Amino acid sequence: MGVVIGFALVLLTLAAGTAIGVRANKNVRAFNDEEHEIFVGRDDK
Amino acid sequence: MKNKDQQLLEDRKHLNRYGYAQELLRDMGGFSNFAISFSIISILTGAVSLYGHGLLYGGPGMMGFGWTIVAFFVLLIAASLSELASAIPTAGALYHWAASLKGTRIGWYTAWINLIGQIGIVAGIDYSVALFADPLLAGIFHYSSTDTTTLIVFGAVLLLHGILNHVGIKIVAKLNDFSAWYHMIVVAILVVSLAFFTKNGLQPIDYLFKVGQTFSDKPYFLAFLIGLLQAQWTFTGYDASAHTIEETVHPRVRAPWGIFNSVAFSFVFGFIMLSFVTLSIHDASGAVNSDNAFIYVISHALGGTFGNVVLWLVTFAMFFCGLSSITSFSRMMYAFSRDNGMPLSRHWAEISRKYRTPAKAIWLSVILSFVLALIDYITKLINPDVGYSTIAFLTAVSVVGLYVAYGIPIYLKLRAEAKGIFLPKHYGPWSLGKWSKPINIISLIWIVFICIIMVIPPNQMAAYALGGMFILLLIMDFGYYKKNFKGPQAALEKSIDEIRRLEDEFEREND
Repeated sequence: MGVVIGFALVLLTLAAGTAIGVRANKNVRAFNDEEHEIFVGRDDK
Repeated sequence: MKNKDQQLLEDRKHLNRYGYAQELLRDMGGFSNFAISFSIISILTGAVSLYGHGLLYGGPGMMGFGWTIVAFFVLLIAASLSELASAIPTAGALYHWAASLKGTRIGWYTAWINLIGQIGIVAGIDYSVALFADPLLAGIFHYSSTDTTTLIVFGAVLLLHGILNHVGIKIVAKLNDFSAWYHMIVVAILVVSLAFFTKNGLQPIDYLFKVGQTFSDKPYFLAFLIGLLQAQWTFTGYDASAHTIEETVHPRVRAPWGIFNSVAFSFVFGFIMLSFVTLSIHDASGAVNSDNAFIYVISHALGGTFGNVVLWLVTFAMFFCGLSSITSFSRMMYAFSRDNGMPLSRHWAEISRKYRTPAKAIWLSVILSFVLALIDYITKLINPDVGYSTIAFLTAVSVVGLYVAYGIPIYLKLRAEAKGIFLPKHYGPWSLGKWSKPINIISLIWIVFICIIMVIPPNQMAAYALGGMFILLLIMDFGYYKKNFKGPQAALEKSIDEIRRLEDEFEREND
């Protein structure tokens, strides 16, 4: 039982990592610098 | 597709918009940026030097479950930090993000907490090098390894790291690239050797996920949580990709990938390595009672000679890890000092005209790390019966310091989004879209949880040390910095002519 749960956890971690990577890559490709604005923030101490 | 010169120009202009000149040499590619974080995570440092700790508290199940659970949450934290690195690509990283998202004071505290964690990580890594190297050198030069000789070796390693970092990012980047390959090759050698040449054969796979067995006097659940320090300490320092962002070409894409991929690849390679090492254990209680559980297991599985070879291989991996840590630490200190966040900031923000490195910040990193280990050494001289190990103390300090510093900007980003201050147009190219918020929230929950776990007994000394440092920060803040620290916003007042003049000076010196 421990082995099944263990490998399920490993697969879940790999799947989560892959999904995040794929999503980020999609956004990198779709990025348009024209629509981007740099964030310098503000100081509300 | 832009060529390198066009990209460098664009990167420089982007940095100028934050009010900073391109002082550091921007020469690192994507692989080098990944390699610096991969080298600091260094599965051959954290997972190996704390292998005995993990096995003692969590038994073999710590390697199967503990490593994977921690990696899952750290991937989410890395993704959260990657987004911020892409949005605000400056070397101050955590500090600059926090200051921009909320204000200069919270930025100031973030910087200091980050620095405290960095001191702990550099000291912890180089102390690990000394712990491994000192007995090896003692065998060669026929002396007895003691706490004093370990401290001397530790000082020598720090010194060497200081020199290499001082003379330039080019050589450090090359060594980092080599280090990344080195880690992968050593893991491959280890795995193949254990798979085919283990004397007594490998345990059945169930052994890797065997829970309920602890060699400590604590109940298993609590012991398992304490044992997580092994994996959690290994997965630290990947903010290095953000601290070297001003030295990376095309940083808004490459640095976030560096952060994220270094964690992902470390998980995979670390899991494979830990699996084979753990499956080759035939005497777990002998391993936890030995001086070094990892070497004990390897020596018993493959013979003493191979164990000795592995010792040397691991020691070199740790050496590379310490080298990268000082690079990251010094860049953080440089970035914070150029905004006048530290006493004598003018010095730490100074860039060597010859080498284009923050030379004085490098040497301060070396000194502070040595002092932290020296304090621990003196404490143990005065009271030899203290119930903790130096390495557990240093690693707990670094885990809590770094993860609190990781958590602050993640929380502040969520807050700034909720208040409508940080908008979708502010995200950089590397972003998570709708996934961002849930990933940030889960990351924060894990950070709070892990920080509590890391300071409960037997690591309470780390809590006292961090508490003491925090009181010192409060005194510094209320005594001086509350009124005088202007944060990264002050740099925005610099004119573009002033920035260009500074950049021209560096260009002329280098021609």
